[in-house]
Amino acid sequence: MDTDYKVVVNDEEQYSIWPAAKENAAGWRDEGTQGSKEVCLAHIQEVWTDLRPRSLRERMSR
Amino acid sequence: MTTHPPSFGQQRLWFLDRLHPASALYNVPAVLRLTGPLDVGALRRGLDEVVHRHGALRTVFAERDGGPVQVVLPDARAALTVLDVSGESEAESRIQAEARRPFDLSTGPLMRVLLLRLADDDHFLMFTLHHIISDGWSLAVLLDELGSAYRAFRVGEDPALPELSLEYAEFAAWQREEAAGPMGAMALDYWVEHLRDAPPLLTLPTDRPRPAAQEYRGRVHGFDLPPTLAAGLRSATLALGGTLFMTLLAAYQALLSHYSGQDDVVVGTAVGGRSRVDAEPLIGLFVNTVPLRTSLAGNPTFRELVSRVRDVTLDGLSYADLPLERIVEALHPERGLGYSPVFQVQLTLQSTRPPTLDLDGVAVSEPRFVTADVAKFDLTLAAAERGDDLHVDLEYDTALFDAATVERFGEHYVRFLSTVVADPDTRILDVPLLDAEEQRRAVVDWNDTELPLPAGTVLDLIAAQVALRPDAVAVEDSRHCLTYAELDARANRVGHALCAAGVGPEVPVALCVSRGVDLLVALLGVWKAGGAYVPLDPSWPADRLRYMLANAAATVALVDESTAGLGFLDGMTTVRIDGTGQDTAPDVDVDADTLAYLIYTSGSTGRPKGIGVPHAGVLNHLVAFDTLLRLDSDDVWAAVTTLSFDPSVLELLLPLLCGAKVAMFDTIEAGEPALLRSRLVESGATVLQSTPSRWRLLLTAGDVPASVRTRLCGGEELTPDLARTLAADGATLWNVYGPTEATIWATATRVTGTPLEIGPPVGNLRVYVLDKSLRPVPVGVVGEIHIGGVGVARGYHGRGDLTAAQFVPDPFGVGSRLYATGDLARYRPNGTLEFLGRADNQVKIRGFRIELGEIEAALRACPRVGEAVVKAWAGERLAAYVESDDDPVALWASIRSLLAESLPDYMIPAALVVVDALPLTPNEKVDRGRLAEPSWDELRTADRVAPRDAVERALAEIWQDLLEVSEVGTNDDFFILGGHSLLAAKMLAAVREQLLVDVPMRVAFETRTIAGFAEALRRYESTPGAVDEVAVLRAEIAALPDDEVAAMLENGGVR
Repeated sequence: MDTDYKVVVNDEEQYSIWPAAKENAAGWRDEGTQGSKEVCLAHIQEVWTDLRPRSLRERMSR
Repeated sequence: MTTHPPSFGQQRLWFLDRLHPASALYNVPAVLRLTGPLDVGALRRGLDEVVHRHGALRTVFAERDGGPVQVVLPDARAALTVLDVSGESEAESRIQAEARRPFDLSTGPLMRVLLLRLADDDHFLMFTLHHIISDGWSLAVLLDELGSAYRAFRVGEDPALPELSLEYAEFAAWQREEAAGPMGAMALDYWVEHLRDAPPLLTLPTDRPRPAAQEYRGRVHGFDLPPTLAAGLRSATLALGGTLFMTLLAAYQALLSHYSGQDDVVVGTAVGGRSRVDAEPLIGLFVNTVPLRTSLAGNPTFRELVSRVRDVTLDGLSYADLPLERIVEALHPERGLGYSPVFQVQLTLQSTRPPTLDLDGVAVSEPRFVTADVAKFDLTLAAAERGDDLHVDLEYDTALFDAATVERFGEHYVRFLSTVVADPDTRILDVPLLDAEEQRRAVVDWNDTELPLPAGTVLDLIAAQVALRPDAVAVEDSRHCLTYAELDARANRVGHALCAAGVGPEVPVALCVSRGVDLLVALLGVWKAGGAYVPLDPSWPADRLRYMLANAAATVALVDESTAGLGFLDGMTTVRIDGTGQDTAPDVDVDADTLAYLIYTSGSTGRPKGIGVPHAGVLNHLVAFDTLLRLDSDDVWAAVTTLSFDPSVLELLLPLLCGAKVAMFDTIEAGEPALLRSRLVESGATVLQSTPSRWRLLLTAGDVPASVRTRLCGGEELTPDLARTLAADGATLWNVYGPTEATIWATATRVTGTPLEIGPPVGNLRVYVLDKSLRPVPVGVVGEIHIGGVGVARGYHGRGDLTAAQFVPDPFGVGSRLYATGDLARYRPNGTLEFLGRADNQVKIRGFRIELGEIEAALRACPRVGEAVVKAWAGERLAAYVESDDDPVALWASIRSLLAESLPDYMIPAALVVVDALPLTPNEKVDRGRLAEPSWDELRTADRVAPRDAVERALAEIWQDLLEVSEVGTNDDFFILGGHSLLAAKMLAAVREQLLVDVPMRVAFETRTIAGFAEALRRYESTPGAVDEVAVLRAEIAALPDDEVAAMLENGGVR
């Protein structure tokens, strides 16, 4: 399986991709998905439907 | 006198000598210091003896049929000059002069010996040999034999030197037979296969554009590897199973790959060329160069790379006898004078001890090789083992590189080696090239942009101006104007109406209002309701508009009288811009992180992408530009930019933050040059921002009105000619750059001259040029521009996938993101950027990587050319599209010769399409998608100009014979039709014989066409008109029946 990339996410629950073998940039954690660039991006399109940063979402729902 | 065919190497050097007559390029100068009583007589006899023994030292070259032959003189003495010098400084200046003194290959001598006498027991002995009769090994033979002969003659004996069983001329003949035989064919097959589809040019980032013809001027930057590194390198080499040469080559190719961005790198290296044992004791040109091509694809570890290099080197060495000249001939690469064929960089490793001269009773130093300030290649890395030390000389072409650049390259080479020696399993692209200091400079110092921001949103800042100057005019168009108070009241009314329609934070509002004061009312009205505007231009295709509305999930549209009934708004709640309602602000708290607007740009997939930008980025941008431009309440900003291009935000809102006035131009006023100009004058505009395309448009109506003191240019590359024009009257010109994804302009520079640069980042933004691993690239190396900071947009609406692909984790922050622009640039030493075009505007034509932007800039620099774009068709041909009212044929002729001065041949478009105006996108940028393919065939035949006079006809005949083509036009390129240097020499020989005029070889390379060459012949003719006369005469004779010619000859000639 092609595992070049992984899905990463930050505290604002914004998603991105990162080389699987590379240490994450500060403030980013693994989301759990790993695979080709296409696989990772397709997964993100699936799960990241509300692009608002988490803090804004929380403020708006108060 | 007997002549012999030259060796392949001699043939090549002879041609090069023809191309660069009187050059010291192939001088090999070596100096020794002799301390002790010297017997000059014995030295002279010793030299004579060596010359007597080696035919190469008695050889000169004659021309036959456009090529060289060796003439070995039966008897010749050594050319020894003995001079008394006053001291070391005189000696050194004589040495330097001697090193640079050219040879005459036709008369010789091709070895000169200079003995400089400081005192009876103190001398400099200098040998200067032409490479055509010698190589590095030859010098060792020369010194060894000279020592033996000297020692014998000194004691009155005859030297007992071993008999030589081979003459160099015999070797040359044998080499030709071998090359033509089965072994040669096998080797040739190997090399042709090895080099198939190799990139013809290694595109190292140069400090200056590559000259049309190589100038071969060079310098050397030398340094020792740190002793610990040299030791580490040797042990790592053992562990990696290679040789020192292979390890050095692997690191060199990896670094060249870093620098060039190419993962396929060809490096030349010298091999001895004396596989025949009987060639070993000979003086002569035996050394050969082999091209070693390594694939660096897939970002291998250094260990893996060394193993690739080992395979390439071992294979290469087993076919190293085939002369490079044969390979070049067989590959028939695209030829030009701008760079050497097949490879442009070299690596050599000297592992043997330097040659020595043993003169009885005289202490002799090691030979010192004098550099004649030449460079045969773009860059040569010459490593030499000196005991435990490892010395590196970087010889570079000074037309291309600055000393500082090559010094940096040397530092990066050392750093690269240090890293991979410590850990050979590092992937080559992961090796950090920058040291901590360089890294800090790029990441921190060049991004020192902190700027305090006020709390709240743009609305709060505008409210302050409304309170401060309610009756001042805020915005006017050609018919209406609104004061700050009126604008605010109307925006509030619209705000209330939108709130009533359900608009609030994060709710998109389709904005479909004609350009006029109402546009600003609409924009502020949406924000007052807390919503995000989505500009819709009714002139766009309905399909595209419907897609945008669906993607944005917009259900409310803000319209005016003229747009209310538009079909694509069917089913939406429409709110009229001119409705009535409360004048006070709606009670909406606008969060800085909510969206201010959604702007759609064309996506590569064909579907537009909606870029969502929050208020925080807008506020930051306006505050940043406020500090840069320092407008005051007297300023008038002419708003010409469509709302769907985000710089409109700057021109509509910054004036309102400063108490200044927005002069709103409608679509026609903004697009019709004369009208635009008169509206600028009449509105008293002091500020105008525009794309280069629109600035050019305005300039077609005359100069920029002097009242427009502040000028911003962005959205496309600002070219030097336009910059000069726009700044000519002393106005302030800003070159701005930035994608919508980073909120309007990310960088701004006041243009004060050329070169034009990008940067620095505006307040609270950061700009980096990064490699594929997101690390800052070294100064001068191409990378992709990434933008971070407050301006980074939220992303592409409803497209988490595209957002994640373009907005990447920020390696320099905590949890922040960078926008990867897809724009290529490189750092200048001061941290500003040189823009190099879109990553996707880079094409490959016949193996060459080409930035279309570079060709476009060269086209725009041509007289009578306005906007220009270049498009690649089918990956093999370039077409230029230019705006001009000139005759296409005449224009093309003048452009082509101008381009040839600044661009390499492979970058010169094959066709020119002249248009009145290039198609533009809604954002006023050139729409490349709408450029039509030229009909190439028509162009070629229509382009072909038949020979126009006797000289051109004679040349055409010569070309047709040599190139074996049926018809040649006067504009056809000799080298594109299959010509190469050998054929060029034959062509010159034919011209000399038939047209009685002698021209230097480089003229053929420079003129390239029959038309150009005919012109050149007339510059070289002995008396004015002679060439034409001879050509006419020859044509007349050719037209006569044979017997008539014979009769005329009998009678003593024609006429």
